[in-house]
Amino acid sequence: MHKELKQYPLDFAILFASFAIALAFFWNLRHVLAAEKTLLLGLVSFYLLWGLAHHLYHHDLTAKVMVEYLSFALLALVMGLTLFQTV
Amino acid sequence: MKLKGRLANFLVPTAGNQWRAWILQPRFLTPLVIVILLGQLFFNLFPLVKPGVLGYSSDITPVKIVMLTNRERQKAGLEQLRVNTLLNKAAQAKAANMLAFNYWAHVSPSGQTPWLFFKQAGYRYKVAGENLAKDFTDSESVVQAWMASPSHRDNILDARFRDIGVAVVKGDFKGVKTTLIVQLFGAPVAGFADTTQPTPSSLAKNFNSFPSLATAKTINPLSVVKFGIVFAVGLIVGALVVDSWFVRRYHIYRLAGRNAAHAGLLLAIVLLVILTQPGIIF
Repeated sequence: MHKELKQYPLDFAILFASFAIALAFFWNLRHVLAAEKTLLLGLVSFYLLWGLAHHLYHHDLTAKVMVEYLSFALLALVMGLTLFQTV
Repeated sequence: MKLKGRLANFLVPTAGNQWRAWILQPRFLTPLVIVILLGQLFFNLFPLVKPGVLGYSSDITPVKIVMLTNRERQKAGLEQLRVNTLLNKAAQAKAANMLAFNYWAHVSPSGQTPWLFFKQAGYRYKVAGENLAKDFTDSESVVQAWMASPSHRDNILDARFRDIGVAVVKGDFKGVKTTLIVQLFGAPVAGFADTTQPTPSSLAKNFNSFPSLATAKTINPLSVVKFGIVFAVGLIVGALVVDSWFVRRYHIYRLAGRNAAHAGLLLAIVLLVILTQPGIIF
């Protein structure tokens, strides 16, 4: 992971900054279920787009790689929705 | 394949798993999603089969809600709201209606608006408003959450309102023990008055007559879900770290997603878990 971070510092800075912004918004909008769900969807969508753009840019995008991103996105989405469903 | 080999394929990159641990492949992640969905279904159905086991304990009182609401108005330089017995009755009726018909919204599934409860209680208003909350643990968190939401804050800080009514009702909501909070605001039409001044003693007297169910010891469903998510994320992030170590140690070249991106997403979910507190407002 350390190697990836060193290899693509700008790409990861964009990704992690977007996560931080989403979490800051989440903190301000906590207890409002619809806003929380929308933010979660935005966060996961951005991750997917980031994966697509990053691998396209570095010419190593394959169907297998995209399925991997989709699996992690689905997992994160389901975890987040389960959390909000329980609140 | 022997157990040791299967375990190695599951946890670390090997030739047998095409240099990507099974735990990080869609073939494992997809069933995990299905397990989580089944767990969610279980959590939704369990309270209906065994009501009263899951629940949120709370220490919320109508008196405190009124005092904290008036404190916010005072800070904004507004007039304090007077507790109105008719609005208290309307709030109580709304809360009872939500518990009876298992809904949590401003408008009931049969189309009853909050204003119907004002009318049934006999409160004639010029302007009126309603704030709802549930599953909170204390009065401070409820008012803080309302103040953080623009539409709820607008109700609390609306200079037109003169009266307030609050109901804090404990009961089974879809089989889960919870506390519903209904806060009603109003300004009566000219010539209509049924109010009580907001002195602490009269506040308590106003609310004493309203019953609430005793709080039983329950399992907090949010804590159970939080534990499950953190455990699953811990397992996968651990596998991502191990995978990265193997790739670096043995100079493995393969086409795969970025472990740091996956780990970042899952850690963001863990932060969501940490930031999520019980209680929602409407």
